[in-house]
Amino acid sequence: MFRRLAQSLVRTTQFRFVSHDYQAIVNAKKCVVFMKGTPDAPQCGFSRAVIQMLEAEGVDLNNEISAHNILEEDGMREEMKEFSDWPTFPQVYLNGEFYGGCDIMYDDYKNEKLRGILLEAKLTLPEH
Amino acid sequence: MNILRAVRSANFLARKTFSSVRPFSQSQILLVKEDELHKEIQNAFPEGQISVEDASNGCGTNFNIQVVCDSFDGKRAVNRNRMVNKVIKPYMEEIHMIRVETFTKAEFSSS
Repeated sequence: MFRRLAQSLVRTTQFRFVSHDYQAIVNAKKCVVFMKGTPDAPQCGFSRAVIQMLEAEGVDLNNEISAHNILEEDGMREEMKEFSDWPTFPQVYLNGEFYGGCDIMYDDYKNEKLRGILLEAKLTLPEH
Repeated sequence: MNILRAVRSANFLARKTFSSVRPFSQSQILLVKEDELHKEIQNAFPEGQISVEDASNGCGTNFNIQVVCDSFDGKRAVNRNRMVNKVIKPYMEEIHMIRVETFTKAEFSSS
């Protein structure tokens, strides 16, 4: 009985995200995007929308953000869903903290709050 | 003798062809339904106004979900959505896409 208990304890606490060091990845840049496809060739409308919104706000996609293609990288698709506690992609991290997906970004973009949020995350944006 | 053999092989063939087809009622159980989701979400947000729409033309794969509830007050969008996601997590295996919109009563009436 104790063996069972110990096993389940280990299972819940063990580091299940074995394919990549996600904590390091989300801390690597001020803005990290987990998407389907790449910024140059998005493979999903929602992923494309996120990239377009970042571009519209003037984010330098080459230097300020890092983008990860969850369709290509081993294990990332399933493990990021657990890591972020979020069931869908794209997933956007700002300063190591999960910000949201396309709908949330679009909402902020529509209400003109996105620029402020990106500036708060210390991204460098061009003057209006 | 020939007739018997013919009937037997026809039987065999028929059984083989239809063995992989699920009976109608069984496939209905596997389909995620609007009402089911609505009920689950309503249980989690008793005083909330819930709207669940199957955006996949009855296929049960895409849903638009809207929840209006004051328990969202003061929470970031991400955390609000997570509250809803937690409820529908058991269904996520069958669902491909969800759109979740969360509002407090005040936000909803001004939108």
